[in-house]
Amino acid sequence: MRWMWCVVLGWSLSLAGCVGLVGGGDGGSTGPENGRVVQGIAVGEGFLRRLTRAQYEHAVGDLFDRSFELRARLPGDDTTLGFDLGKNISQAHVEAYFVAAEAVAAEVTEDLDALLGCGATPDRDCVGAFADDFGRRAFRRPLSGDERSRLLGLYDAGLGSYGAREGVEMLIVGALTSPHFLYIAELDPTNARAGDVLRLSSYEVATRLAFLLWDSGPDNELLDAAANDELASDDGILIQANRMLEDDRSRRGFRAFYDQWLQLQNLASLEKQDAPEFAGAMAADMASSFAAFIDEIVWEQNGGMHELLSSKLAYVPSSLATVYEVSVDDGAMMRMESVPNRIGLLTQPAILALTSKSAGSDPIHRGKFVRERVLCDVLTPPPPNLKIEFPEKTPGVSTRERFAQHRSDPSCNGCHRLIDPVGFGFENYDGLGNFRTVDNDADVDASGEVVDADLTPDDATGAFDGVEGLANLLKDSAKVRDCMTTQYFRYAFARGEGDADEATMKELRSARDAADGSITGMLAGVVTTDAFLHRKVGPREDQP
Amino acid sequence: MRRPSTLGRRLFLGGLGAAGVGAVPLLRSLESTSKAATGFPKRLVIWFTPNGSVPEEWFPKSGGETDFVLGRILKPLEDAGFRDKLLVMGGLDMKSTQSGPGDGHQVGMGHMLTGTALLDGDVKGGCDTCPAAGLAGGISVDQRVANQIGNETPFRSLELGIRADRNSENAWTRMSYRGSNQALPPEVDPNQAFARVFGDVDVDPAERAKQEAMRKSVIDSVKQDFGSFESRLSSDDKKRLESHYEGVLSIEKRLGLVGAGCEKPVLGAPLQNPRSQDNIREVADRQIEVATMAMACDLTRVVSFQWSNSVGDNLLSFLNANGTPIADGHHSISHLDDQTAAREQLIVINQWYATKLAELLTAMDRVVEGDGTMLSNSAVIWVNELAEGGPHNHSNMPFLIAGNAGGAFRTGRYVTLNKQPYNNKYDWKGVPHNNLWVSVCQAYGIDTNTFGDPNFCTGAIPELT
Repeated sequence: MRWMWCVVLGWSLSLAGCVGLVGGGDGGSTGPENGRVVQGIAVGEGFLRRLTRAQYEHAVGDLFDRSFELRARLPGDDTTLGFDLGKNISQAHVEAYFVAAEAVAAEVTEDLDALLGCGATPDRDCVGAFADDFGRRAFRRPLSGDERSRLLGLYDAGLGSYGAREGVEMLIVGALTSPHFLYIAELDPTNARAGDVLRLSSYEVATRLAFLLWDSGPDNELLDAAANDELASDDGILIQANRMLEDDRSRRGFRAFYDQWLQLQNLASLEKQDAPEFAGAMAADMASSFAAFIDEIVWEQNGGMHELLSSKLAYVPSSLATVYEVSVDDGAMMRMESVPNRIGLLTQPAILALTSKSAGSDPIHRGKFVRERVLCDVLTPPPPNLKIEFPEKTPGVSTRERFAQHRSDPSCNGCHRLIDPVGFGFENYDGLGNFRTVDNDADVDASGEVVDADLTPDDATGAFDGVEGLANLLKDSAKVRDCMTTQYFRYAFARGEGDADEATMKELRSARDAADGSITGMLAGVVTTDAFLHRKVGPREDQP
Repeated sequence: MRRPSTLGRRLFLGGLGAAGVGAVPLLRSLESTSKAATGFPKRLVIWFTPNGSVPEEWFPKSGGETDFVLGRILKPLEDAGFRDKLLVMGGLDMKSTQSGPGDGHQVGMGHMLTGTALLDGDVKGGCDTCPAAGLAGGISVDQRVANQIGNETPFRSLELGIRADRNSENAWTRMSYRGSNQALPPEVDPNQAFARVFGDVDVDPAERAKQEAMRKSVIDSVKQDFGSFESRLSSDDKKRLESHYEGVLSIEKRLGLVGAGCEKPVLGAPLQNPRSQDNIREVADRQIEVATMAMACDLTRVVSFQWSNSVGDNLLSFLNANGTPIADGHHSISHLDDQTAAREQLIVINQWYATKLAELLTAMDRVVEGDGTMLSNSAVIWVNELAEGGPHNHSNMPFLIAGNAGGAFRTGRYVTLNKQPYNNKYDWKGVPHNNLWVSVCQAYGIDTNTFGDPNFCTGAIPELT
């Protein structure tokens, strides 16, 4: 079937000639398959996901077995509930994709032999083999005949006008700027009906596995498994998932999750008024120290929320030696079984600095952080007409006392009774994460309380003293464990959890519990959930 | 692990923009509607500052339509010599904000340029009874005008931010929309904006020609891949992919527009952190320079400046009010505008924004075009998402036009559009701001009598022309 793309793009008619297209050239097993509709399974509705900045950087790097710094070149991703969506698309995105692809292509073709393995002057068959292999990994399925001709046509054009290198450059740019690379293209069968629930094809499963576990595209082994239809069963999927979790790329994949979950992405742009050394280097060291902590707990100790909240482990880079009050050789990162006055992720300098003001601590921000990110409580922003006045900083008045107005003003107290008593528990740590017992010439009072948020009794409430007390209160809480799985769901599927996702949420929780609460158990569990293996067809123009 | 490659300089060269020689703006054959009477192109600039203003110092203190006496906030514009080029409007209400979801800041920001209800969404604002909101539900006026006058320039429009949030996309952080739910993110790094628009001065013409030829072949080829998505996407996804495709076409169109002339600004070394409070003045100056030159070179005819976001909390500590440096963020102060000390700070802040606007006008006025200047072929419109910060109201908005868009507006005037006095800050006694956008559309040759939600639009404002 032949049709014209510009007919659909009515408003762009005047700008460009129509592109005649031969339909059905989508390749792989994403073609129309009526048999994929399944009955009796409910999942929420997703959307055509564009690679996020991080995914783009990782996927391009993995294609060439290199690492590139690309994300700063791309416009930001939109977010929901703190997680990157990859839904927005603008002129700036499209331009950035071209510029980045051209830069990458120029760099990787500097040594053509190393890239193609065809000697200094490649013949066309050898370039054809490269197109097949590279194209399959870029599009995450074998190229269709049309796509192969298109990419080799670019090679021929470049070769004809300039030389082999330019030909390969154009082939690479032609793949990296294609929507088949830039989007996780799960396309509807042509006869799809809105509301249909479809089982994903093997290649679609491979793609989801790779982006979820590695934050990148699939490798050849995963694509081979898809080609051999090994991803049609849960067992086959788990074999691949377990292989992938053994690979170091899964650390990177999990980091993409917790960078968003705990908002660590914001650390890089943070400034501290009284510590010019913070912006950049020190913040980056805090992030590395945090990553080393997570990596050991999750990947070596096979831990879960209990360990993340209560482990005394710390990795201390020399730039944070003062913060941790230990001594570390210059330039080294020291692993310590335990450090005084530190417990779990909540006392990590990265978290403490992130949840502080530019000058001084910020009990409200810290309380809100625990409520929203760790307990999944829903807080309403302050009413728009509220007058917020903080008393001047005067000697002898602690931060805690300065923020006490929230508790006395009834219009604030509704939310701040939930937030402030949690945040006050962090007052032993200043805005850079240093431990302190005196704040602005006043003794620190770090007593706190997690007040019941919604009159539904839960196991994460009670009075505590300091962050150690808070960690002990939360470490075995089912609410905290479930919040973590909820956050992972939001990350994995780029949407809030809805009623239709109930079965998936249950599967996630039981996978985690069956693995003694471990994070890796949850990660292996998500890949066989209903929401992971299926998708729901959205409202379509042809079906009003 | 191998150190990540930051990529060689060679291929980031050129950006995707045009560059050139000489100091004479390009002139292409244009339909008469988008040309000023002089034959030079018309431009539209949007200048957004957040958190409302201070009416008693924003609006003229006394006098009439032409002998008005400006208050403290707009005084810097007069001091810089632009009194005759101002059209200050009293009695504009953002009436459309009465419909749809969102809190005061969200609706203000989202309706400001679209005059249309926000979409339902999942971003809960600071208001217990306001339903959670998504992005804006319609095209913004800058983009409507860009559709009319931006099709022949390399860039249909430029969205520039000064400490605006490039990453989070929601009703608070976006004002410019290609259409419903299609927000345009502002570029917050002037050096990136520069690289995008002007490419690189050192590019060898032969190298550029080669780069463009290669890019053209790739674009021709990659367009074909959009075909296999057709009829296999939900309607929302299809719209997004169409935007993407439109972006590809726009790059293609820009190729070959290279060569004629203008002078590139010299910006200086890239800023380490353009988001830093400390860099706010430097970023603003550079963005003004990029925008002015991009328009002078006719690389674009539509530019928007977004200072921070709605609820923007810029800490402008280099300003003094009440004898001391300002120590709190703009938004925090704006909530206290019923107190004398805070009100004084807000006057100083808004006055400073007027100073920066005067600098933009000065830069535009320096570009001679025939008997006039680029400013006389432009309208620069100052907008705000709120009337006042404390009440979060949307009536009697602090909007003004500078420049007359090639004779389309009669400037040097203060016009009061409300026929009856306002009884309170929430009174809707004025004319809907959608009407202003109708007048603006007409000024750029768009044949329309309505803009945004037609329920809040009664046609162009005759007093402006």
